[in-house]
Amino acid sequence: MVMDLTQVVLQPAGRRPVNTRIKELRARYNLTQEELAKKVGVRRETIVFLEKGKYNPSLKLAHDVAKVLETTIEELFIFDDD
Amino acid sequence: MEFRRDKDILRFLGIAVLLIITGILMMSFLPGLTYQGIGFSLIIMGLIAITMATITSARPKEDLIQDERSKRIKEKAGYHAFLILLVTMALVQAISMFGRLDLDYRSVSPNLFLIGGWSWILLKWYYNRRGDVR
Repeated sequence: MVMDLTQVVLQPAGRRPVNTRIKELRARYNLTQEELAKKVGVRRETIVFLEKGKYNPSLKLAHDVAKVLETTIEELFIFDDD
Repeated sequence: MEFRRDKDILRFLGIAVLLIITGILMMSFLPGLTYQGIGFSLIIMGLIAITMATITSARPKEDLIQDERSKRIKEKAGYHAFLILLVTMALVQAISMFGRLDLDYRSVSPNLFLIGGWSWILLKWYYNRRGDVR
């Protein structure tokens, strides 16, 4: 099937709302926000905003969080158009 | 409440004291309204720095890591504070050229520095509170 590219509306990546499963996976591993922040090497505030979907992380941070929570970036971050 | 006394805090306090001393020396020995203004601004900056150091020393060290989000906030706030400073300077220039007020850079330069500094501090606080940094 050939996709009609004229119908695809691209938005700047930074403006798309991001839903994450960080809270859910963090609970699975019994980690507090502070512990996760320490493991990833960021401030606790950053984890708070990530969980709320209010902060779009860099690819490296997304990778680091996914690695600590033993999952993939695709599993961890859900974009609205997925 | 416990206050940390690590190297960073002490260095920051040292800079603050240095600013205050420089400000006092400027106001005491250099004549002219411009130097008085700069000296006064330095004293105010030193006092603000001491307040910031005190507040910072009461927070745990983990809260002060420079991660990507805090770096982005600083960069964005700095860029916008610089734009505000440029616009303010342009306004001062326009007022002195076309207005009836007798303004010139020498007399308003301390205030311009204050505007730039305060814009940076306030924007940092605002972006930090808002969450996302684009």
